[in-house]
Amino acid sequence: MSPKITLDRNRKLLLQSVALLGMMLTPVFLYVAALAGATASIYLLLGVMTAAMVLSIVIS
Amino acid sequence: MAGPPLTFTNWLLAAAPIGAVLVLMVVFRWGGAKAGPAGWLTALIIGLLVYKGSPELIAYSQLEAVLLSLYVLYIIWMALVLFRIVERAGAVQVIGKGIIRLTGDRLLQLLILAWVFSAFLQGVAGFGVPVAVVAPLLIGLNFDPVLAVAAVAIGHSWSVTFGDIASSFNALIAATGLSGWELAPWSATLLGVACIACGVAVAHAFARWRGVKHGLMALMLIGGVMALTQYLLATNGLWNLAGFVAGMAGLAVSVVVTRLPLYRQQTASKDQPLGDAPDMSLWVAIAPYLILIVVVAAAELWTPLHTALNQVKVQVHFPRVSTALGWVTPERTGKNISLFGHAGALLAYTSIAAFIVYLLAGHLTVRDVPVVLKRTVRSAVPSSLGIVSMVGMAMIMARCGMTQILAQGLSETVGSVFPFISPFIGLLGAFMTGSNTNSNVIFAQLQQMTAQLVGVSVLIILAAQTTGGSLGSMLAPAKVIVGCSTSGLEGQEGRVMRITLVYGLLIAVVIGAIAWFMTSLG
Repeated sequence: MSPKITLDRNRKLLLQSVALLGMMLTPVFLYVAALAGATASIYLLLGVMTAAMVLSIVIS
Repeated sequence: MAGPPLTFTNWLLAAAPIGAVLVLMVVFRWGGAKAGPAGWLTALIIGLLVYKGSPELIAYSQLEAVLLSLYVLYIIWMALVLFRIVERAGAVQVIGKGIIRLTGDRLLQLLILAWVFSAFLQGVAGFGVPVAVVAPLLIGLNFDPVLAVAAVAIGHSWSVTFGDIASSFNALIAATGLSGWELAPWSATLLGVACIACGVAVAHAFARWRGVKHGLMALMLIGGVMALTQYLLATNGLWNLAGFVAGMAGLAVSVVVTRLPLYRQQTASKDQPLGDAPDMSLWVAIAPYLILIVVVAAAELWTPLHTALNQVKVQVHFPRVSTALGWVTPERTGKNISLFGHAGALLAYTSIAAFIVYLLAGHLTVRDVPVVLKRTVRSAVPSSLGIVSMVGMAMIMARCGMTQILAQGLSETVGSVFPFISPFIGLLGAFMTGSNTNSNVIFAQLQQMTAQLVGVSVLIILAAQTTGGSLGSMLAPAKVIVGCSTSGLEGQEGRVMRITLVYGLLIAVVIGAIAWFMTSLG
């Protein structure tokens, strides 16, 4: 049931860090895009955010 | 604020993200780093498609979530750095061995280590550190391994809310928008009751009612002092110190209790294994925690320093947004983070000072820095993923009106009985996420809204929420697994949980009954 790929500890930690940075930095750009009313950019950034979440699920 | 109508389908869909996290963590044994993002994705889909949240609304909710997460993660990361420094220097062993030498009374040894010392450790580092560190110490003293893990899981749980520099309590403040001054009195009161109840539970787990009877004096004296210390600090603005100073006070009283005639019949056994500990004085070992008390007290109580440290703050303004169904989130300013005055910053100053102390005393070298940092990152990143994604989920739910629907459904179903079930909701949150902090983030707003709808004291309900969340730590699979893995009990988590589940639920019943009674007084 659990989606899982085999990684060594360091690579897993690196990818988890990438996912964490994605989750924490993307909302800053999302906020700016929302203030600017740039809907297309918001969708794109929500896609990035979703990708970070999926990455966390797959590698953790 | 019209919002979506309360129907059974809407209620079920609103509960789906929380339900997804719960099922994935409990049934499929996923960690927070996997289950949290799954809950986030569920909330995003339902929020956009069913609750008709706009992409702009989701965008604002996520920056608010990041600020809220940073508020908690700042503390968690820095607390871990401090703990890893202390651990690397071997000071944890020195403190543990010092306690063991105090008494030969088996019950008192168990109480001091599993209830008092573990609470002190919880005060400075969460993440299952007390269970991971103290359970092996108890096993080294020939306590039954299952009892050792269960006793520490039960014993430390009362101190989780105000422990770890009150990260869970700070999460409660951040999630509800209420001040610590308002939340502290009731939270400290219910957690004080939980403190004594946890001690009684440890004594009972060891030798049933005979153990409670033998340990009654110690339970009342140590428990009374810890509960009172926690209350006094929390209600005087020092909630960041309340957990671990209560633990320290408990350790100090424990020394006195071991000198009571009732507990002096046995002396520390020479043949009890004490393990290896570095040649370090107890004062050097506990120096980081003494420094922490001075740093936090100075930063909170000395006005010129407090003002100077709180000059630089990160704060974001959020405009008014609404869903297509009419649920409005008014214009507001997000949680502010003081870069140099935040509890996380105070922990960072303490960590630097602690490192220098151990360096000068010859217990650490500069080469230990990368080791400490690597260990911190290794344990903090997965936890951070769980926290950030779950906070993001909670913010989507709140801004799309899902939390409101959940609260409305609960208030109409359980009505005046709500205060009784309130701690069980907190307990459920901690059970499923392994964290009092996460439980507060996910459920505090729900509890707050439900209390308002039912018309009972929000402060008592939120105190019951965080007390339940604190107690939930004893039966959270994530915590039990940590304890079992360091105690050679891999695969036997079920045996430990059978013990902790009974005591956890019984104490939650007591807390629920008190909350119900107090709210009924108006």
